[in-house]
Amino acid sequence: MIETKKLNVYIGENHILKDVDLQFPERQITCIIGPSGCGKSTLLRTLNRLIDSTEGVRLEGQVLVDGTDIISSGAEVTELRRRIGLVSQRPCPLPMSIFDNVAYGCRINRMFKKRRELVYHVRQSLRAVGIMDEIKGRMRSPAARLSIGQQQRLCLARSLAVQPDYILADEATSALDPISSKKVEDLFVSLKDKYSIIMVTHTLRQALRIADNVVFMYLGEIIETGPAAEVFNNPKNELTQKYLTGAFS
Amino acid sequence: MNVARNKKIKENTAKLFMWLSMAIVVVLVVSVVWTVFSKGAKAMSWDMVSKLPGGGFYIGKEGGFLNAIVGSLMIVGASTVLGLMVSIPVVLFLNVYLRKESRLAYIVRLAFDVLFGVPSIVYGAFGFTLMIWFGLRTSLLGGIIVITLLIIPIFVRTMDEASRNFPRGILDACLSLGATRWETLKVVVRQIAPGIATATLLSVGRAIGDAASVMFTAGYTDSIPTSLSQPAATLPLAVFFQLSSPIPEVVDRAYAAALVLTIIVLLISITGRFITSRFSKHKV
Repeated sequence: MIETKKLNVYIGENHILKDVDLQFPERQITCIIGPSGCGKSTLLRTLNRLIDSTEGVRLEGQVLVDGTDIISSGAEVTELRRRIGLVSQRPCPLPMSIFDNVAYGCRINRMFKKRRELVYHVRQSLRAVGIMDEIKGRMRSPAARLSIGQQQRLCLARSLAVQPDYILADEATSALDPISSKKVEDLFVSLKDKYSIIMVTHTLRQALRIADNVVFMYLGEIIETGPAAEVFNNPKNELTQKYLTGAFS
Repeated sequence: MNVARNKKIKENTAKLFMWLSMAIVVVLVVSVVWTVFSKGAKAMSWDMVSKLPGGGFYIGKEGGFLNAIVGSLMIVGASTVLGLMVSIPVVLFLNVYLRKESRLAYIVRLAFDVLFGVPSIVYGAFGFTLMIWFGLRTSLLGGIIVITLLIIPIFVRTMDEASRNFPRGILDACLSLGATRWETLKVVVRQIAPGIATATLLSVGRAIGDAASVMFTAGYTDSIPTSLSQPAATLPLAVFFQLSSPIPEVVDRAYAAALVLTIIVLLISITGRFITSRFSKHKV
């Protein structure tokens, strides 16, 4: 399970995340909602320590992944990132073929000794995101030639290929057309039996459709958190009520 | 009505200027190539490219300029390899390891901009000073070092420009799969491969055609160097020295050398474009 305790994130002089205490339940979809600039993406990037590459960043508090604090200096960050897959806002295929995109993670993590095993695993990963039939016979063609929706599913397949325990999705459907968006959304729902999914979303409807749990953030603070039905139907905090009714966005 | 007419006049004037500029460029290119080809083709023969000059390159009427072809290719080949070996790590360091707003990156880029603008004769003079310091004579090694110094800024700035538009999402994607920064480099190199090809094209073009920097450092000779410490002839100097000769056969040889130089540059351009398009296949 991923858990944060008194997590504070500063970037330069700005205090971005303030005393964030959260628990992300396993094998469920947790949607983080909130207005732009409230720190949703920063929180997500802190969970897999991608935030490290931001200039002037300072972290305080704890992020516990299966009980191990990943902020303390001894944490092995590359292995951590392998365990926590990321699907970003815009699909970002690597400059290589479709096959190599999925195989890249397996190769750098030295997951397979035999090529046959690698090929089988890549195909399985592509099947898991339902793209295999669409790209049949095009495994060697450049990934950049796929449609945006297919690219996003390829990126998800790439993340799944390294066998993560958690999947982070940062507005993963916001750049997609409605049909592709629906496909990716359905995928996340089907994947939650195997993975714990933490998803930042700007679309309340999407959160309503797929979230098991909801975290509402405002100006770097956690305002309300709980099971989706509870937060959406019976928000306790006034700010949450206002946000859900569209008083601000 | 007047506004519409004014707009049309402006539009047409701008178009006319563009056409004129384009025509000037095309006429210039065609006339340069025509001059070189028409004068060079008359003097060109198999002997020109397969034999060394006979009886001295200033006054000798026999033989060709194989010495200059081989010398140029040796210097350009070695300095391109050395230049790439130095420049690629610099570009990767600037774009992958240093942060976008890094002060060091700013200073390094500024330094390379300054070096980019330094005239090649200054590189020649600098190389010459270094050689006197180390007690070296004009040699193949001297030429290679100075040409390497000359093309490193071209390599770095051209590749850097290509890499600065590099989508940062690719780095995040690699890192989030468990890659170390070192492991992301392979992906970065793939993405900037067209930039590397373009940079190589520009650098080789500049290196092979530059006379000023090799004049004091590589020197000139009638023979093909058999070691790094021997002087080496180059095509631009073959043109430069022979063109001022009073003997018509030697002047012809200069034009033939210019023709070969032009053909080599054209071949490099065409091959470079082909390679660039191949490398661009996977670019995101």
